Amino acid sequence: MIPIQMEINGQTIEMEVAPDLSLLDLLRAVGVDSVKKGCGEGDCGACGVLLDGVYVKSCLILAAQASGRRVETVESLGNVEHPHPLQTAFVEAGAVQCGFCIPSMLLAARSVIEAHPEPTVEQIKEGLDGNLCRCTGYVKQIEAVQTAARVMKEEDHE
Amino acid sequence: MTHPGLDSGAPRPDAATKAMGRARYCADVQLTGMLHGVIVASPVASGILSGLDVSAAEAAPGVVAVLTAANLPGNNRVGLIFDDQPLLVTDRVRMAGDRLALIAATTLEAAQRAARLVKFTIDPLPGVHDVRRALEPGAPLVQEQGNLLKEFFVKRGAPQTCRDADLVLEDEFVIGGQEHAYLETQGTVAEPQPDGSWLLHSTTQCPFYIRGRVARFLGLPISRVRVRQTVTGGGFGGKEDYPDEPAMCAAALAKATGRPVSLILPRDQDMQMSTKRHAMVVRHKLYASLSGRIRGVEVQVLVDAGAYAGLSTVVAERANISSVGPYDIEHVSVLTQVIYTNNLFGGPYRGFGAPQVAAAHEAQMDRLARAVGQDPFEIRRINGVSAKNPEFTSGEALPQAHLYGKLLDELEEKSGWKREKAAIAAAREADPGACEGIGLATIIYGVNLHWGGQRLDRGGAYVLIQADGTVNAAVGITEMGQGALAAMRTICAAGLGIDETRVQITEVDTALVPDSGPTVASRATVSGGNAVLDAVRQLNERLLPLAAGKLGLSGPEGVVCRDGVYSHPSTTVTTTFNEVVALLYGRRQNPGALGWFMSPEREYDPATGQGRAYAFYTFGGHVVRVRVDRATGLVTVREVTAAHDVGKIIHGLSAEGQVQGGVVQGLGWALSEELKLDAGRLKNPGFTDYLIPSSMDIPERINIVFLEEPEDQGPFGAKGLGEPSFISVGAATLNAVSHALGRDVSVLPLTPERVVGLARPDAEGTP
Ligand code: FES
Ligand code: FES
Repeated sequence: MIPIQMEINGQTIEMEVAPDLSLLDLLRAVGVDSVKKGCGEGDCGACGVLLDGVYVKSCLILAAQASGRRVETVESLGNVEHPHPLQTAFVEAGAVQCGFCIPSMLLAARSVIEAHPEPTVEQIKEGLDGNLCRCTGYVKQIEAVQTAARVMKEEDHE
Repeated sequence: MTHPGLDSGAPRPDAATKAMGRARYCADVQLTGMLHGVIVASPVASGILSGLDVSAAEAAPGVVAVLTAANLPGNNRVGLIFDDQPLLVTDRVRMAGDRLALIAATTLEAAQRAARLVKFTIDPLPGVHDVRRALEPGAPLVQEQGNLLKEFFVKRGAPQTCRDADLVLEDEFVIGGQEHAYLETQGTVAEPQPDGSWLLHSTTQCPFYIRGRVARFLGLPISRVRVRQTVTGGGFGGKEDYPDEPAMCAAALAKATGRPVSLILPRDQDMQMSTKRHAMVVRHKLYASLSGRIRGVEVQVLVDAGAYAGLSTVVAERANISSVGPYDIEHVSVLTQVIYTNNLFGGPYRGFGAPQVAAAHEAQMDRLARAVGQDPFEIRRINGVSAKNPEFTSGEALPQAHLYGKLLDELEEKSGWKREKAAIAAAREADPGACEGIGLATIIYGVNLHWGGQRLDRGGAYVLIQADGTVNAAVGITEMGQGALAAMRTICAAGLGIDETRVQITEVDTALVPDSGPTVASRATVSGGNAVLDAVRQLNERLLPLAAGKLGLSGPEGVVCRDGVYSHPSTTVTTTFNEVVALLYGRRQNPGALGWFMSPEREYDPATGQGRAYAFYTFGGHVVRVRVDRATGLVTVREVTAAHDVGKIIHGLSAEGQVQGGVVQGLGWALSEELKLDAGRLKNPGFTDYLIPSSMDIPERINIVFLEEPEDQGPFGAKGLGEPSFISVGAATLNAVSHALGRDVSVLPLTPERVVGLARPDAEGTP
């Protein structure tokens, strides 16, 4: 067992973990279950988190590797009372169907907007390439990212 | 005219919860003392289990129970329609993924470690892997009673009289299966209750199926087994009957240990074990005159069921009646054979056998068009059902047959067909190597259950008005991502005349709503919606007289409720929904109603396929525009236009979402999703090599046309859309690639390797 310590959505945890425990399994074990397991092999993108602000697939990272670092999941974006513009845009655009891909896709989308404050459709497609969605055909999700980027820009100016 | 309250533009009720990461799926269910279950499965598809030693697994740390067929605490028979499948193998292994043992342990890791300690010996037997060979004399037997499971027929007119037709077009189409690839894998958490009853939390389209099979497994009356659907991460047909199997496994382990058991399939097992779209071979022969009019069609459909029947016969029954298409043809013969093999487990998948046969009938239509020098749209106008020629393959005259021609017109217009075709021709003129194509395909689809399943074509809904004027509704059909909750909420609110946000719909709990049949066949809106409306009708019979009293009227005739306000043209007095509800409660009148729906009884002769196959139908079509790279075989889809006869739009955003999702899933099936088998074992059981479309693979544009002519049997005139959004995508893509390559194409999926082969000038079958 390896002692680890990390900050998850602003809360610091300390515990001992098996050396082969993935960050995904750790997060789910401590009750952060908005992070989904769609494959466990890095293919589906349902397990995305922000690690020190960088979008990664948590199933491909060992919990031990994430020790001493900052992990953010969709809960850090917003909540029902104070939704993030991306969450609002996804809801209003009809970009959410079964929803299983969504928490992670929102984080990937945030990274897209961070890199490209006015993303083109092509940039959004590239940014979401690793996040499989079987329900929506991505169309409304791409629209939602564009809408959110606009809203975020306006908010910046205020 | 749109009924007030429909398609308000309000977001789906479940969207925000999901976007905040608060939706709880099956794997998110955590219970005190809960164990984790895993399945030990056969890696080979055909053999005899001659040795099974679980002693090391039993002794492994954390393990609480190991079950085999020898100590299974319940009925080992799984079959839903045919009794041909065990839960755990006793001796014969028939498919890769057959279950050998079940393990429950305190952690998932402990259970997985123990699974690797199970020792088994399977003596291999020759298997059946080609559906075309399965019925040959001397073929190995998958099931003792023979490899032919069932046959379905259409016998209409006398196709043999067509043999002297001007044109005979004949081909064999080899159509691949498909993995549902719902992002959430299958699973159940089984929770034994203190009183000996059971609660199951399952990801499923059909909680009532799970209840029935788990009750049978445990030997309990169905009232002692309660299934609560968890938020379901996609279904597409894959969570119709298959979820019963992991549910029975979880229940077995929970029974053996007396503790709750969570059993969630890992992706590779899910892909190997669970049901798939059937691979099919379709032999299609068409007799036509030089005018382009089809005289007769003969079809043989070979359905690869895999080793167990499951619902393959139900899927085949639909493939059978769908195999001719939306055309009025005098002479038809269809033989559909459902065949056991040792391949993957065939089952329901969006379109229920129709997409496979559509690929064949629509390819044939295009070949006919080419042979007689007609445009693909024109050839379909010549042969399509219409007000004048309204008879479908089943011999029934379709009341809305005229919509087919309308759909063609709209599709042609919206897709810019003539312009695009001219552009492609001009490009070819300039550069003979240019490889662009455009393809059309159309379908007819019964958006309810076939005659063979009509006893299940029913629905229940309980609607309860609370004292504060808000409403709870429980409906027997399920949300699996497609937007059923939104549709039910809209229908309920529009029926009562109140704002949607007042209505709360709960996911299915089998203890609270009547068995409403399976949520399949695009029937959710119609069955659930009609049940909701029936409950609403009963409630309005109580509310409207009270409202009339408040308005000073002697009777309720003409009183309407809009946006929560009751009014009548004869008076300026109004009253609110809340006031009327307060009166209802004040008088102690019943504030709840159980609504019910059943589709009309129908006559149909399975020996001839003639009669009323479905209660009603919808038409749909797609135009797909592609660019093909001859060197790499890569097909790029530039634009797709979808047209659907939807009756009425209930929730526009969801309807569009269904269409876009259906298109992209259809393109995946047509172009990249190949189930690669090695003697029945899936060689690509994961998204590394089984390639479902990502955001990079979608067309530049998806255009949508909705035809809204109300269907009398639908709530506010609505029909279903979930499956039609998928069905003709594959066929249209096949036709587009065929157009681009300038040659016949008879296979799906059109993976790059296949397209490279087809693009070679010396390729076999080049016209
Ligand atoms: S669970 Fe991590 S990519 Fe699929
Ligand atoms: S909404 Fe279902 S997988 Fe994306």
